[in-house]
Amino acid sequence: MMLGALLLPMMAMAAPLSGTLGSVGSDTLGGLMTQWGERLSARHPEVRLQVQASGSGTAPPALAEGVTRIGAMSRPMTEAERADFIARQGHPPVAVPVALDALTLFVHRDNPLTSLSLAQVEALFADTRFCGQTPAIRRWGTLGLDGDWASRPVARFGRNTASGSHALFKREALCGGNFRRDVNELPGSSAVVAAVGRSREAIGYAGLGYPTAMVKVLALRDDQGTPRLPTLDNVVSGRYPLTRPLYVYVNLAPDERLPALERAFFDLVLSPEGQAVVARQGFVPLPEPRLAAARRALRLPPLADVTQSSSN
Amino acid sequence: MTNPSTAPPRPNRRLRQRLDRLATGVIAASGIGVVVAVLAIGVYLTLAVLPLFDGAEVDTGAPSAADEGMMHAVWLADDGTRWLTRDGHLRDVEGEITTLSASTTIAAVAEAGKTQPLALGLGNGEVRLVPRDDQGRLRWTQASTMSLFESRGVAALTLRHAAQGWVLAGRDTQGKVAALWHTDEATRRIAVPETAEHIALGHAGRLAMTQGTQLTLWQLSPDGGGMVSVRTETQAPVTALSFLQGGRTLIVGDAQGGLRRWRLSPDATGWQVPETSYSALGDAAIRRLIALPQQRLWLALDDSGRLGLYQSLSGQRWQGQAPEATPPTAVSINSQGTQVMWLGESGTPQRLAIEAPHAAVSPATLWMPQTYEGHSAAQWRWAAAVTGDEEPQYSLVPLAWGTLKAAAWAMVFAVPLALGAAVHSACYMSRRQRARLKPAIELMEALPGVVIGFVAGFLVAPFVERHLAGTLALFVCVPLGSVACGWLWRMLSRRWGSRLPPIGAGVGLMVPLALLCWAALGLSPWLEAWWFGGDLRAWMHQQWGWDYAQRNALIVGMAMGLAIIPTLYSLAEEALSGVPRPLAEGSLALGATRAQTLWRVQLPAAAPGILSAVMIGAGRAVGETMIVLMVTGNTPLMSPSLFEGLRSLAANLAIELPEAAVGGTHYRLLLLGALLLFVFTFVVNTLAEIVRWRLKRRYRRYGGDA
Repeated sequence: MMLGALLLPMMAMAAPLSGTLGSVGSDTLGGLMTQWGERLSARHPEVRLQVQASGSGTAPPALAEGVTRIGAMSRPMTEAERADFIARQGHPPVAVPVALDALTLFVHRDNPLTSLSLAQVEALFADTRFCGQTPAIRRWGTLGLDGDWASRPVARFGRNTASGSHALFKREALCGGNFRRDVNELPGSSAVVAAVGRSREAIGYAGLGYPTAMVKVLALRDDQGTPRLPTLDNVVSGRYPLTRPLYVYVNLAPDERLPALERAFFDLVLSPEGQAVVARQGFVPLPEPRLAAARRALRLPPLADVTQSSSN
Repeated sequence: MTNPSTAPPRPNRRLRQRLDRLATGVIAASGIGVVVAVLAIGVYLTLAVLPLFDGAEVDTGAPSAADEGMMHAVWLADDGTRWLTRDGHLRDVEGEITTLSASTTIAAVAEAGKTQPLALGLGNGEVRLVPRDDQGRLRWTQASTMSLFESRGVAALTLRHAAQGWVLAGRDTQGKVAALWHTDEATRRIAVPETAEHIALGHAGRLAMTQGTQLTLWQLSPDGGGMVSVRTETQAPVTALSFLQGGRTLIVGDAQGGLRRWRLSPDATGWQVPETSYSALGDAAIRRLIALPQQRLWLALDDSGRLGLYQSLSGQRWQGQAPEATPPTAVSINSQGTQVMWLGESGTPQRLAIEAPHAAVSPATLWMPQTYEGHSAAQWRWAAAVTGDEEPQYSLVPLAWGTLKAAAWAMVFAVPLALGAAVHSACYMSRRQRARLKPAIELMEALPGVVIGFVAGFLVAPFVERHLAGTLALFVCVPLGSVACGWLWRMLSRRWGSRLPPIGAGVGLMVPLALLCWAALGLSPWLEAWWFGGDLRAWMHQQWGWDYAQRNALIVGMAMGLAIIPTLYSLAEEALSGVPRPLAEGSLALGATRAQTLWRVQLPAAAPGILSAVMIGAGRAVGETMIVLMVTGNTPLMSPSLFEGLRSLAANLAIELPEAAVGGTHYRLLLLGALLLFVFTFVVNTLAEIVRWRLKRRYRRYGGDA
């Protein structure tokens, strides 16, 4: 409350901000959005954020039809989705990067495997060979595990097609190829983690914030063969190969200013406080320049002012 | 109680009549309302699905008078507002904007989407490249020039995105071929010692060339090298060549009007054999092939001016006349591939509106196996395209298969259990026991599918995976054990009668059954070690090639079986207990045993009712969503194996409908799945109801109470 009043003196004085803000989209971003919603309610007690998180693919139709003004997506919109939005709304949507994420590959905690190359990832998950020519990997022995593990079959888990994780994995790890038909598709990243945690022979992929103690995160080997874990450093620098920005799309005409509710929301998300939530949820906060650029694009006051006024 | 004689009779009676009429009206309206609602769902689904099967259309709009004869161009911007003339002037309707090549003519143009530069092949053998900015706008002033041929002019150009940059290949006026591979570090010229009449660049530096009937595939590499991958002969001299979006499918048009599809083999070093041919436009030579950016659509133009619209998998979608019989000098296509600007010799631009939103769908692509890009064999695959760049794989067969497979295994579990329970409670139990058991089983129906799905998916599935041998042993032991225990109980009670503890047979069965379960699970590791080399799953793989997936049809069968048991039980029980008593009593009075009466009298009499119970149970199993969604891994496989996963139509709807763009092909196909489910359950339930109704009539004839 106090902080909010200090941060937005003008708004606080004019009238207490109130209303409900709806958001449709990414499951990966679901936890983040909920947390931001709670912070937003703490700043403006009359404001609620309603989060519907069933996959990135759900955001573009909802935005285009005007069901929501805010859509969380863990991948950029495709050309077709953008075109559909423009056709219905008359202007392109604005993509606001809000955090960085990486796709992690993980196995059961008892599995001795520690790292994979991208070619092996394709050989594990794909029916096509659009990146490399590594033959299909069906047994853990093929990946160099011995003893009991050598003859054990690989069980594969992943996300359903509505998710940005699915799309990104398909584009980056499979070079646009097709998934094997026996990759179990589960609706929800935590369902993937839970399933892998309960099956010793399983391997799965999900966003950075999801893996629990039940699974072991694998390092990915880069071109030089150096294993890279999805750590903060490796993600920010892009050394970890499967890195992506997470977006919140907003329906905003070029000559229009953000409505007050949306403005308050983005002001929170693109602030040190909002980015602290990102870190706590296991994602990677936006680097300073990208944060500033995102604020500029939305015509929010530069961050320096915010930090000054909050330190007052 | 009021005495009718004291109350004023007339108004009361009128009120009652009015109320009665009102009630009749409300009830009739509700009944009709339900029928209307069901029909409305059917009609809505049908209307949403029908556009899938609409024919494609290519409309030639009237040229606008302002443009008439004005545009003589080799390149046209995709909105048609700017064009580039042969002598290198960039113009719009107002006049000239800039000049690109003052000294020489532009002989060939190549483009590859909004991220790659525009390449102009010049008459002096050079290539001019116009870069694009972040928004995909061309930066005319920053154009650069590179040399492709030393002595002769460029006659044809082809350009495609490749690893870290782009590849460009050209042919000079005498058929010599050369290429440029541009990466962030350098641009290298690749000499290709071939002569070609037609060239086309595919995915990752695959260069297809034809000379007469010879089709050659080269592999270029970013370090400036290249080699022949494969040489093949086509059936007739090739007259047109084009790779489709994605660069993995080559369309070849020949001098006899033949149109064929050559696909890169999965390792991309050769072609998939045999190639596929499309229905021809006519017998005139194919002049131009134009690949459209979405859905693997393409246009073919032949010498007699016939124009055809084709889709890579579903074949010819439309045929008609081209706006001009001669090949266009410039063509521009918008990013959705719905508007084509066609600029011929006349200098008047023609706008073609391509209306083929669902061209990727045809009965053949839905129900027949297809050879998709990157695969070596024809398969039934369901994989919705995530981005426009992918080839859509829309076959309903794996989904229909998964639906029926899940329902079939659920029936295998549910039918014996539910019918056994129904027979027992209808024919053997006392009235009091039945009054307790029936509501208890029917209460199971109230168990939400999500709960069953969760328990089965997250507790049962991992357990069965760890104790597969034990679980399979249970399936053998429990039924056999129950029969044995029942027999034993009978023997014991006959011999010792009163000395047995005063508990019912049901309770008496529990203890030995529990012991049996414990024994089956406890002994199974030994059994596994002894017979199956310690690991049943590995043994199954070695012996029969069966794979075991954690989320499989076995678990679905058990979980969904559990969910449909109450329905099955309660309908079958109703049918059995409705068998008129005089029938059974007569049979017993004539000296038949209880078993004989059951087999010969009660079951045959109730058979239609039991059949309808099974049908309604099957209908429920087919439409059940949550359990299948949570318990299977939603893997659209076509395997009959009990140990592999599946994806059902209903679960597919639940997973994919939220993401599908309303009105798109994917959306309508999902609704087609819904319509199939609707029709199936509608037919099955209606049949079941008819059977039940006729049965009731028969019972009434025998004097039963039902």
